[in-house]
Amino acid sequence: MRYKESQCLYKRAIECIPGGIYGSKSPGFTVPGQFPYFFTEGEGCRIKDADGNSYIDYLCGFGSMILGFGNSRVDDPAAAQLRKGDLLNQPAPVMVELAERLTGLIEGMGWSVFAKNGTDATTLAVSLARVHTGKKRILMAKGAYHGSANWCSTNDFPVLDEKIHVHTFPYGDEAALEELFHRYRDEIACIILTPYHHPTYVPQILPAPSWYPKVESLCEKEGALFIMDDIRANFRLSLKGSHHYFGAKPHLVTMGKSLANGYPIAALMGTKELKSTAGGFFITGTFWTSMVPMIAAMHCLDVMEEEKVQDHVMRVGKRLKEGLFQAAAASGYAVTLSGPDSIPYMNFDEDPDLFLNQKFSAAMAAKGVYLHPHHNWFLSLAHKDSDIDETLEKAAEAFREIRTGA
Amino acid sequence: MRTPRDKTVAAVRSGVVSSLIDELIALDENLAASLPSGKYAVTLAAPDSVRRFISFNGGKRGVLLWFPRHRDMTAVLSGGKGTLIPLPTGPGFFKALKAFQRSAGAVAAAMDVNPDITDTPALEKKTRLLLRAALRGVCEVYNHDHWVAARASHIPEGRIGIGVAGRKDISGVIVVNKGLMILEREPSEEGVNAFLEFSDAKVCHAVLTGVEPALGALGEGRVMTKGKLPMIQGLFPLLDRFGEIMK
Ligand SMILES: Cc1ncc(COP(=O)(O)O)c(C=O)c1O
Repeated sequence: MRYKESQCLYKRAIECIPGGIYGSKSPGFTVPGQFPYFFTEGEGCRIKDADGNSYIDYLCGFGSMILGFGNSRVDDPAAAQLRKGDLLNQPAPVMVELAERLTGLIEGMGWSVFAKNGTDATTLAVSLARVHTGKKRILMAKGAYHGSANWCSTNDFPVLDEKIHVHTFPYGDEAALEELFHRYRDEIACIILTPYHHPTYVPQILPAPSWYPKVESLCEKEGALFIMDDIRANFRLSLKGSHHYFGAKPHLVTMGKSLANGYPIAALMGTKELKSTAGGFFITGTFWTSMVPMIAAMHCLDVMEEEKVQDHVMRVGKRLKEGLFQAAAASGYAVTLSGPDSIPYMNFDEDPDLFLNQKFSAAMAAKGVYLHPHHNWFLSLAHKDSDIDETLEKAAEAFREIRTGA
Repeated sequence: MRTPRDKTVAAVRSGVVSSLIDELIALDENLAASLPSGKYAVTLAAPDSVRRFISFNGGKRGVLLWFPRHRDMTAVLSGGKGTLIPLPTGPGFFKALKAFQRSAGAVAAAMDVNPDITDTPALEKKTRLLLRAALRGVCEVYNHDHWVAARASHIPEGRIGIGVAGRKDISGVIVVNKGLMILEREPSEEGVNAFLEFSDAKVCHAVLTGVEPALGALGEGRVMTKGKLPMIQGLFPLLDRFGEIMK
């Protein structure tokens, strides 16, 4: 049985870990019984599961591995530092270097603070926006993911009231957004947006040309802050931040995931005008100043710059998208490949409920390609043309199999 | 705050009992034959519009059992003591009263049966009843419980099929529409947006009785989730809450 060890481990896990594996990594979010649950190693764009099965990986640690697994230009200096100490009593010089580098690189940003998870950064961002504006309400797009904190997660229980001041609108709906700004005039602290809409299950939506000008003018009129949550997309669109790619001008930007090619670090950046508010805020975490991820981030930025990583992931992503479209058509399926080329997702036009996505992803997993059925995919610098070719060959087989019910 | 409201408990309990009576009569020829002949009906009623209607042979009138407090309804329908006022609503009064007593007693007895897992007919019968109770219970929890309301509001509208693979007789369809959840009377798999599927009746029985953790069976692919996932994910907290309320 292909996933025996994964399943045995999961059985043990449910005895001592609530849910066995929690959140977006839970088996229920994959295709239960037909997907691996535990992984042991990765190299380049390939990962190995607990049963020893190997996959071409298109989830990249939920986006973190932008250079691929085991990139020695990042890992060697990080490992060398690890042996000399990661978390010392005070920050290391590299914290200053990284902040200098990011403020020089990320368009419009004048300062940076560091945390561990994306959720730390987004939660800090909305708190700062509230304090800076003296207002409480937060606007976010329906279906957008900004982390696992109660203000933005699906943990909706009557005793958790962090959402009382959070209001949602359908992504891209300018009239609905305008209506919210009107309804809560003088009460809105901020709007938090991802650079484009990347909810789970449904096709991704790129912003219309009028979207950011509208958001910015509404914020300006209201005196509200515009937060760009770039945690998922960051560096797969532009080295200067995804807002640069779309021509948007946020006040605060959050980054995480691919900033250090898999090492735990997130960043909150802001415009110069917000620096004094941030300075008056208590920002800390025991591990937030750990040095190894900062060193990894510096080297990851080097490699991304030198290798023009955005050009690469866009190019291989485009090949993947076009190839999948054709392979699907050859089996009589019309599919939509949405999102930027470097972060694609596929939906079958005839099946909004995703029965076919699940069959296709399970078939691909059985052939050694990890394409998540419900979450968008990611390309990395480690995906070569030969990996895309192999993926497309297997995809053609998988489409045929699900068509014939094989 | 987490404690379920009396009305919720009464609504869940009465919904489950009325569904089980329907199901058991359909399943058990002896019970059906032992009921008074003719058409009549029982209405279970408590304050704030908690009302359940059980029709025997297509009857519309007979008896209304009025429970002055929600707690009375819950207690009586759980086999305990509580105030209950039988009011005639038509000519079938005595027949309806008798049929209710007999069928409610039969339901309680059937739910107490612990079938041997090698006795397939008995196991399947019990599984059908457990499934029906769970599905109806989930609907009532969705419709009445304050604690899960906000979470449950994330469940998209549509139809969810739940049951044993390839066994229409041990399956049901739940419909979510305009903030209400109902158990379809004559379920059809056509147009179902999501399935929660047990590989066989044994797994279904083991999971519904708590003998086997649902997650374990899910991990091994003996419980499958298919289609529109948020619909199914939304069911799990309701099932948990149902278990909590029925304790
Ligand atoms: C856009 C976005 N914001 C925030 C987060 C939360 O990040 P983390 O999981 O690191 O807390 C994520 C994670 O997927 C994300 O995609």
